[in-house]
Amino acid sequence: MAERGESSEAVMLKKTEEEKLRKGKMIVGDESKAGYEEEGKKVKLVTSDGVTMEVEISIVKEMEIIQTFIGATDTDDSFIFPISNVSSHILNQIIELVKGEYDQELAKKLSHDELKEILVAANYLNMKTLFHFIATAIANVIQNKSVEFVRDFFGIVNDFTEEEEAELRKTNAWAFEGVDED
Amino acid sequence: MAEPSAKILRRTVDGEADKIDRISALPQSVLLSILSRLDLKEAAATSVLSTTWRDLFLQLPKIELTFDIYGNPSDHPRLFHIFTLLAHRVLRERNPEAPIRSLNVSVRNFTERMEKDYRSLLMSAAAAVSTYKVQQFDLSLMFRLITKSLKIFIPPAIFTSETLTSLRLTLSAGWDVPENVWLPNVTVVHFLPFLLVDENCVQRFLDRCPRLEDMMFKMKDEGKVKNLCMSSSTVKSVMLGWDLKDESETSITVKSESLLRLTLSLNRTHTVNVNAPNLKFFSIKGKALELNMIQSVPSIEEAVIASDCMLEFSNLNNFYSRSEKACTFFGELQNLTLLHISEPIMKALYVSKPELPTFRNMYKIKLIPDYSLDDFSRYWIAKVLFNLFQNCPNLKVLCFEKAFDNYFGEVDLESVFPTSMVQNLKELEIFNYRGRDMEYKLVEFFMNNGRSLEIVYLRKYDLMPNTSTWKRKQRERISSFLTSSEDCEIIFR
Repeated sequence: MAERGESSEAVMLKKTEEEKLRKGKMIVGDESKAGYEEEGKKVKLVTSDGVTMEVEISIVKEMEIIQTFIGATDTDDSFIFPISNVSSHILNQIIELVKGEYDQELAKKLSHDELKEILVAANYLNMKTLFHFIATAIANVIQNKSVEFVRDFFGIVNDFTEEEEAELRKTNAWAFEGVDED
Repeated sequence: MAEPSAKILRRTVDGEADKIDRISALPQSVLLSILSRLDLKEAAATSVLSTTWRDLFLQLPKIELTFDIYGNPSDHPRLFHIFTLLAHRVLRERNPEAPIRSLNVSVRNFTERMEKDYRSLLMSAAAAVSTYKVQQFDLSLMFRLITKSLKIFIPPAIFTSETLTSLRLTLSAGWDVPENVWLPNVTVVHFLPFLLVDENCVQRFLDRCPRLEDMMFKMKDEGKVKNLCMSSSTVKSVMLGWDLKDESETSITVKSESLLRLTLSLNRTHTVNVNAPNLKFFSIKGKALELNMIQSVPSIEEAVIASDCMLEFSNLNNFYSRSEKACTFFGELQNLTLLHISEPIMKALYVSKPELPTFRNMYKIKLIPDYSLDDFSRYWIAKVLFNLFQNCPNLKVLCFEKAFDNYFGEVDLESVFPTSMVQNLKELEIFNYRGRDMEYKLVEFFMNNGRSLEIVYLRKYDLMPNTSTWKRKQRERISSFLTSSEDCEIIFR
């Protein structure tokens, strides 16, 4: 894991340098503004596992972190953006969700790990609609579930002593009223 | 307890540690946004997950305290007590840096045995309103059984908040407005009920809400208040209803420069005076003896006229004069773009036969049949509607709330709908479609003759499951009608 992370970072650094060069050329040679608004245009994203993916501009537009970057620079379609927190698998999932117009039915097909990874990605890329969608999907999964299930889902290690937890269950008794713990 | 932890440890060894860490490393706001999608009871249960989560639910910006349980009623007071213990925590022990944006306290199946706990719950809520700068406060209380009229004490502090922008109380109990009211930022106030103690009580309240825009009051009184006047320079929307039917008569006067929407649901006989020069929407249901509009009428664009002005007349003169007044009012609604009309007013239009103005802007008319008027023949309705449609040269949408019974009797549809109106119509809507012959006849008539018809929207009667879906035969029958319009879309819902 760690090795792969390093190598993809190296690739990204290289790309960034290339981008700077291209940008220099573009400013000299091209007076027109980057037409990234055009339909059918694609933006290249490099994922955490080093995969370069071409993503439709309509989807990239929802990624506010990239939008800020595009807004601040002159760009053409040869630009490449690193998204170091998102794997190619998760990016593909995100594209499917956006194309599927955020249908909660699609969320039911995602594994627990995918749900969590998409949450992390939505937060990192600052995709508001995706974030609300995935937060709702996760809430739907943990709803009406036992404490043990939720701990397991989030990967939370219980750091209460038995006494502390018992005390808390007493203080917040209403929260556990009528709930079957199994 | 030990088992799940062991599981996680094993996973950590498997090399998924970074995945796990990334979730717990997310900012609290991310975890809170998941918690905010659970009901408060479930969010509070996350307190035992780990120390990170222990007090997280106490920071939720939206708090919905809901006690809505069934089961053995004798156990309710005990459960309600446990519920209030958690509610007190949420309302008193939260992070002082975390304001409460909205607070909703909703209790159902209330009995008198819960009163003491409810009282202390309200004290905590009132304290939270000022401590945590609550902006929206909703309080609702429903009794399990309707007991003798119980009064609920609402802490006066709620009525002197600088931060509240919305205050909505829905109680199946009486309560008193405190003497001292000062809600400088409130824009929305819904009081169901509002106890009418004297003629000035509504005005006194309005004077203490200098930014109020939206008010909804359901009045409750013992018939003592005969004259109710209210005036405000800020209110944009007023909804007034009456809780009890009784025989007394009341006069209501509403005066506001900024009023845009006025909805009246009258349960007893009223004389209504409206002085609102910018009124755009007006709706009246129930009994209205008299309706006086001062300067305001030309601005009204949408009107729902479903009131009965023709009941309880003392003699024939009285009957005719009421009918005249109703027609005068109706005739002045000449800028309407949208009209919902029920039969009582049609009756007046038939009796008095007024000269109608041309409703140049009228775009849509919705017909709300009232089959309870036995003495009003379908032939008369046809006459009134024909006259009305003729005076609406730009009518594009015609909607029937229901048409299943023999709405126009044996009357020829040509004598109800003028040819020019049928030819200009773009959309026909029939709600509560039941598949009666009358309905097919109407649809066929408009499809055959409506040269400009673009949409026929038919919505099924959805109260009964066996009639709520469209059968293939029904669709086919409608689709087979000849259309005189080139592209007419039929929408089945």
